Amino acid sequence: MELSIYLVSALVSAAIWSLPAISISLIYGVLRYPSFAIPEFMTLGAYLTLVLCGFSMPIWLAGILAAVCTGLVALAVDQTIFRSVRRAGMLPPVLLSLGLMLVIQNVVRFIWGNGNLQFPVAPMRPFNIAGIIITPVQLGILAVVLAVLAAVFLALRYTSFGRAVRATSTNPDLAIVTGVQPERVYGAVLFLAGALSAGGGIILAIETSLNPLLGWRVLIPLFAVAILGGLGSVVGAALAALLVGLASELSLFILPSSYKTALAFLVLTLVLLVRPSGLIKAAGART
Amino acid sequence: MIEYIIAISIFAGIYGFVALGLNIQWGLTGLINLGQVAFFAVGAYAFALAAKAGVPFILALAISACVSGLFGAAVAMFTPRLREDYLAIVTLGFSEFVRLILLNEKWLAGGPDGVAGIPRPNLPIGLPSELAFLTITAFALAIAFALTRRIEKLPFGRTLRAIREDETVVTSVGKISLSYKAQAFMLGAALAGIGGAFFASYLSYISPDMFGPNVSIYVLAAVLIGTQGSSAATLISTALVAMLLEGTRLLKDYITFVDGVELAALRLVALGVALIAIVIVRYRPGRI
Amino acid sequence: MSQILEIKALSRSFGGLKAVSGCDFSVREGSITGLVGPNGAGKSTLFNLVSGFVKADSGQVVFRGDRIESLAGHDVARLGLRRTFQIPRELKNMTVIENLLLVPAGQTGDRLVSVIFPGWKVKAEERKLVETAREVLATVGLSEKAGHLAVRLSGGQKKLLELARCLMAKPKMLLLDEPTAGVNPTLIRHLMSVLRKVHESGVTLLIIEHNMTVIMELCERVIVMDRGRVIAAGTPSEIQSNEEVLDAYLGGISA
Repeated sequence: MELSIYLVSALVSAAIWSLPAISISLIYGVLRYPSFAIPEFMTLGAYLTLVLCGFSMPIWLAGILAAVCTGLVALAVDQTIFRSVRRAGMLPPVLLSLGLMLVIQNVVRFIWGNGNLQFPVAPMRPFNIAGIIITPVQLGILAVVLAVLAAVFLALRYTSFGRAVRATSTNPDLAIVTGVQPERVYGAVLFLAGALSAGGGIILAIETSLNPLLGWRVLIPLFAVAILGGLGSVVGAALAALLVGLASELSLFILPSSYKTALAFLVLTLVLLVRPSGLIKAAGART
Repeated sequence: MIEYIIAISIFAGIYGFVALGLNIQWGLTGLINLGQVAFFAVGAYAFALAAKAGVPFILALAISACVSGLFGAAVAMFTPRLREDYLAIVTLGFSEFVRLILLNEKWLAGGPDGVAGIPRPNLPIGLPSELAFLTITAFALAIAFALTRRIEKLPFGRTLRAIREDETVVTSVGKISLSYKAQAFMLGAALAGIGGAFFASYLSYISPDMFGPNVSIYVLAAVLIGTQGSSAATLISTALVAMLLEGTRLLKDYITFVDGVELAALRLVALGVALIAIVIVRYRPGRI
Repeated sequence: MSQILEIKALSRSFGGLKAVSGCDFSVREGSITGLVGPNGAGKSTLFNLVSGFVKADSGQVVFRGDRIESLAGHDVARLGLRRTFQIPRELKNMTVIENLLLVPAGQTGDRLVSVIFPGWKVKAEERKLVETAREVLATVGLSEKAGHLAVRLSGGQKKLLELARCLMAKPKMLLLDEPTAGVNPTLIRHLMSVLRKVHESGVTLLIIEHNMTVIMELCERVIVMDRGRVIAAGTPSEIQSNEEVLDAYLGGISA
């Protein structure tokens, strides 16, 4: 009974983390830098959703529109700012993403203030499915994330866009020879990353509450997931999200909740130390 | 007005230590550290706890340098081969990890309430308190500067620069590059720790929310503006950044149409924009 | 005559590709030995294995009677077995003489603690090192470039700098990875005379080289590799008339 609550909670955490973690993974795979702006795309997406909800829009429509808007922001920033340092190695884009993190976080703070905001989601009576207690919202979250994950996976595997992404991440120079236009791939990847992260942020805000540190607070678990999944692998990231989610929920049996993030950081450093290429990627899962 | 100038100078001095530390790690040795604030925070807390326990100023300063240095060495050892991409992730993650520990562990250092009543050093000279503190800070910074200059000129510093240029060469001539990298990282962390000690002593109160990522970004920007590797240029650019960013605190009295939170947010937006602009100028195509 | 370096059944593969497989040969102390073979024969990988930059999957490397295949790169270098790189790895933003001063082991000032000690000992050591470095630069003919940034050197001069950096350590044996590739003919003659001088001072040389004139003139023994293993060994003239060697090269060209 108690265990099932933790399991549901772990599943929901995994669902939330998987979207931005995949974004980190995708950007690392294709553009070869860890992007610290991803958590802020989560925050931005959640606030935009709230604004759109204010126009008496249903929350799902507001969410989709906000995700698209965030994706466009990510795309625009990439094609203007990040593009100017494209061939200068890993460090410049990392520093840029750090600067961008600060800008987004504080623009949000400037506009909406430091306070906690709530999504207008009416509390509903939880279901009891075979002894597992789950709220309709949680069920909806799991369904949506699973659908999105499946769509991303299929798109990367079977569409020409997916082939271009995979080619660029394996060997950019070879990809150019085979007719892939790298800037298009980069732009598309950034749009996708922005939109997916926004999705994760919206869900996180619905489950908890919304403030300017929404995304920043999950920075460490996100990177733990992305690294555990083997940076660059989508399936790996999704599985790793499940693992880290389970680990951090189950840790509640023995550790106080304040250690959740500490545990994620421990996972992160241990994986780097033991198997820098990522556990799951190393086990054979591929994009 | 003069109080503001003294206050800004003290802040510039404090960040000077942190930036000198980052300059050894990144400017000289080529090790990126996105979480310098972690060692700054560790130093501040170590000093606060030691000084409140009655440890004399100089000794408390030494303690905070040692504790921060140890943390630096630990981070260095837990980052495989101190590779650039891992370092970026681990250092940033570590800084947030430290902040969360300080925030959540009440038994350690007061949790969210922080530590108050941190003493300042007693000075025999008959200067007003603020000016006296500035004098001590400047004096200590001068010593730190002389030491880092010395390191740059020593064969040790030459090996660090060689690692920045090409680590493989350093290995091929029979030197254990990893050991040099760990030492450079430790040294940079210790300097940040001393900065943290002065920070705690100056404000007499510290809490976890003072140690957000902006401090790291502050010094990243400063080292990036200065010619990487030169202590002198690093100090000058730190002073510049401090004047620009702390100087805007002055505006609080003149700008009435934004409140405190909004002004703080705007300052950080400016810092972010500044970092982005510096990176673009520094790394634009056609420049090394 | 004693063997300074012995390679026994050395193997290493990269993701299914056998770069070096079951390689066997030895190098006589005090000799100049050439290592030739078509592109992709595994010569550079072999150098990486011997110098400790890449770990072998199996097999042994014996240097002066000690097994070294499991040592790290810096430890191999300390034993007196030094290498150059095919593409010169000069420390670009450091001066030529600084590139050399980096090398000597056990410098007092090369430890962090020396920061707090007075500098006279470091200075005295440094003066000696500068003297040695100038001698080495004179040997390779780079004296005039001592104060220049390494990035300013020509391709050939960078090769000389690589060599000088090795000499600075007074090595027992040098692994030279294509010392004359991309170097103009005049400088090649100069390089060869430098290599002879180095050899006369008692250093054993193992040279990867595509320039057959260099091999013929310098080497007393030539080892031929193809597809990760040794296919022939002998004097330069023996090698020239070896059928298998010709096949390997012609096969390499037609492939």
